[in-house]
Amino acid sequence: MPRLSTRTILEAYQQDALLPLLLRECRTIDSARSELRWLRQHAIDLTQLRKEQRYQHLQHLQQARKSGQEHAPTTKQPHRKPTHHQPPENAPPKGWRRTLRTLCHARARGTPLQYLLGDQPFGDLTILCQKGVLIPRNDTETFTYAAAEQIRQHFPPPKPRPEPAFPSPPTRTLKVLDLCTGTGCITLLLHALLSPSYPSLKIVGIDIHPPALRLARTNLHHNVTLGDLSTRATEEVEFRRADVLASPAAAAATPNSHSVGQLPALEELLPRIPEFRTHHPQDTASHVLAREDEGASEGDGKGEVQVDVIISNPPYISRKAFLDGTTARSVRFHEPVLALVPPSSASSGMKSVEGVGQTQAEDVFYARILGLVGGVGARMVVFECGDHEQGGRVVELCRRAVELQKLGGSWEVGIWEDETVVEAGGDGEKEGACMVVMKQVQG
Amino acid sequence: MFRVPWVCSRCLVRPARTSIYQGLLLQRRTYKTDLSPALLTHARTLAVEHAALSTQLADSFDAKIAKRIGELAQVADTLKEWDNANETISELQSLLDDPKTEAELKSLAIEDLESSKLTLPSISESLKKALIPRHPFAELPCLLEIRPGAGGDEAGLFAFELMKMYIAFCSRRGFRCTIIKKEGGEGSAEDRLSEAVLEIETDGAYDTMRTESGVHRVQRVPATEAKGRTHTSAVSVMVLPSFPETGSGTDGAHGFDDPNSDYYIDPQEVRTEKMRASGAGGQHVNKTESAIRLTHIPTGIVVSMQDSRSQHSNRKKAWQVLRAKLAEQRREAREQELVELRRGAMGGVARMGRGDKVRTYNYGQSRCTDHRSGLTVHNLDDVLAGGQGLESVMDSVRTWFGDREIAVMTAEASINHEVQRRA
Repeated sequence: MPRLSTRTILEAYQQDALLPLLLRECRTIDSARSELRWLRQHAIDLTQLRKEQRYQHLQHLQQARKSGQEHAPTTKQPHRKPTHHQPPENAPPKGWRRTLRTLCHARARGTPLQYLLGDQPFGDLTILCQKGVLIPRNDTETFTYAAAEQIRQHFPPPKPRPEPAFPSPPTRTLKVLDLCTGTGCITLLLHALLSPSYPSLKIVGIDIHPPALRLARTNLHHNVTLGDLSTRATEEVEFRRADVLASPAAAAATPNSHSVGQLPALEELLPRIPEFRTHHPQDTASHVLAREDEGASEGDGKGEVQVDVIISNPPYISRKAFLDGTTARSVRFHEPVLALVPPSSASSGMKSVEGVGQTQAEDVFYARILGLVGGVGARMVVFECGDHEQGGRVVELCRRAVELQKLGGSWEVGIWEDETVVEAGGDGEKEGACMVVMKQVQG
Repeated sequence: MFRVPWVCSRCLVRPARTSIYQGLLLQRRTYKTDLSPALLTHARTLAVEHAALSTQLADSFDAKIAKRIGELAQVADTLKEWDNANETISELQSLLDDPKTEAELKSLAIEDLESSKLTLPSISESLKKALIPRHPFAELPCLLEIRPGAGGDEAGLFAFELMKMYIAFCSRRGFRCTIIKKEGGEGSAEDRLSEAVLEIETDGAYDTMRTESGVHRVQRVPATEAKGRTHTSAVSVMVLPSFPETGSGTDGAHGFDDPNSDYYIDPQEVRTEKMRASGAGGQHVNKTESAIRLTHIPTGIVVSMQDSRSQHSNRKKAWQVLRAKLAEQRREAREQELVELRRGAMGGVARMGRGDKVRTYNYGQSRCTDHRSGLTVHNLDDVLAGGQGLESVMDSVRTWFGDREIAVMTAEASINHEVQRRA
């Protein structure tokens, strides 16, 4: 990271004494100014809120005291200085500057802005953020929009019937599985984007970390209350706890692991979700392919599960990239390692994953998820990857998965490109995160 | 001896002045109000069209025709009223002229004649109003863009005051108004602007606010002035139509997805730039930089937006502003064409664009003068608080718009009339 020039710092200081603090994280004056604006608004809101709370608390105390000495003459009125000068109605509450200074100092130490403000807008939704859960990134937002578009193209939504008087036949449910969901941002935004076109949806978010799941559920209710998500979401979105990396072999060894307290593997969890099961006889008839695949995977009882789309933004930072300065300081110190770096138990070097073959340690999640594709009969898989190099490796993994699992039909795998956007500041080279899409075009 | 108690001359003047303060000084420039035969012919052709379309609609329903009929209905109705009134008058007149009429009947006829003659001007007035074509964006909500012009810091300060004025005006009128973009100048000074965009989400807000487009001039001693000199600075205000989100619009004229529409924007012609530092992305960093810049390549219009923390919503707002700007520009271009045509025919028609000075706020004299309608309001504080004063100024401009429109229409219709007669 290049050193900030004295001139920049001075210039920032002349604009606002707090700007140099923010400059440590933001690096440019423009971005620091934006952050200062957001922090200022938050400081004012926060101070106002605290003031109201204190006032309510005081009133509560007074009431308690009054009821305690019902008959005693209340001569002692709270003494207040007569104020000749009323502050204007919408003036910021006293003390907000101190709050702002505290916030700016915390930001200078690298605390992410979203943890300070408590939320992050994600599409039209507001995703609450909390220490210990990964913050939704702008890239992920872009990718989720693109993924929703791809899903709509790949699974054409039923045409709205012109005459709703006729009882419409029960439409097929679009089933989406979001692995490593974290705050639940992808799950919720997908629902917001897809629910207008699909009359029936089921989106399940999976995570291993209980606080993340709790936050995801809070986010669901928060956005439904705000009105940004339709009320259908409370039925159609679900968050479940599972260990994505837990191998099916281990799960098979302890068949009723959930009662022992160990985390269920995906193969165990998915059949427990009623919407994902293919128990309707007419439904199974239309998914002969999926059943054949189950037959191919030795029919170990885990079958009878069908999912249309798997989407995931798993931990993808390599141990090396986490430590060598590629990963920003703020991310390293303040965001959960669990959500960033695949676990070290998946030891460094090459690793073998069933159904995919050898992979590098940082790609272990992709390999594991690709190993599932055949079992659940997914026809589309979407991944976020750290950079184009990793994207290339994941594309290779996808091809190998198709080959090794003998997935039927022909599959199209590629890195998604946004043609309309030019990235200012970049030097034309492909940098930053990318999205890999794998879809079954025939079959 | 006469002992007149000494009275300060100012006190003598004061009662007179307060009446000036309270009664708004009305000095409106009005145009001739009688209905010209050319305009009447124009109205008749419209009425004929209305009748033809009505029969067509009876056979098969078409949303476009229904809309056109709605536009013409008022003209047709008012014209009918006008004809009826004229008929009554001529009948009464013939009754009066007839020597055989009894005296009693005659006096009654005279009374009736007077009363019907009185209604005539109001009917002709409403006929003229009905003839004014609806503004294409009249029913839309609007965006209000405020930018300081000449005058440096002082212009920025006044721009902020104008923004407050419009917000107050909107809240008084019950319009929903949100700031979608607000940029202060250098430094974190809260009370000056370098650019602001307000969104007024109420339908029809465009029609209300379109009187505000233009350059607003301020004359005052600025807070930043040390020597007490009066400065003149300018702030430009632009009123843009705000279009509903794409997809929901069934209105053909405002479709953006329809390539045949006037307001279609080819996404290929818009360059989107994300402000993004080079280096790793995704989970590696947590950049809060969310600015988006859109450039419409053929016209060179640039819209940048960085107010929201979400890149997506910045992009959405930027598109909204870009669309509004392009639509306004295209409409203006078309209007300009019309003006050129008219100028050829009738030698110069005044046209107020957004480059023209429309209003002066003079603090020293505490007055606000609109240069189009010529109305002066001597209660600047009330105007700047978005109160009744501002509303009366805006009303006067709207009337002026209508008068001008009628004048142009009359002139045009009479030229057509002339041409037809010669042929």
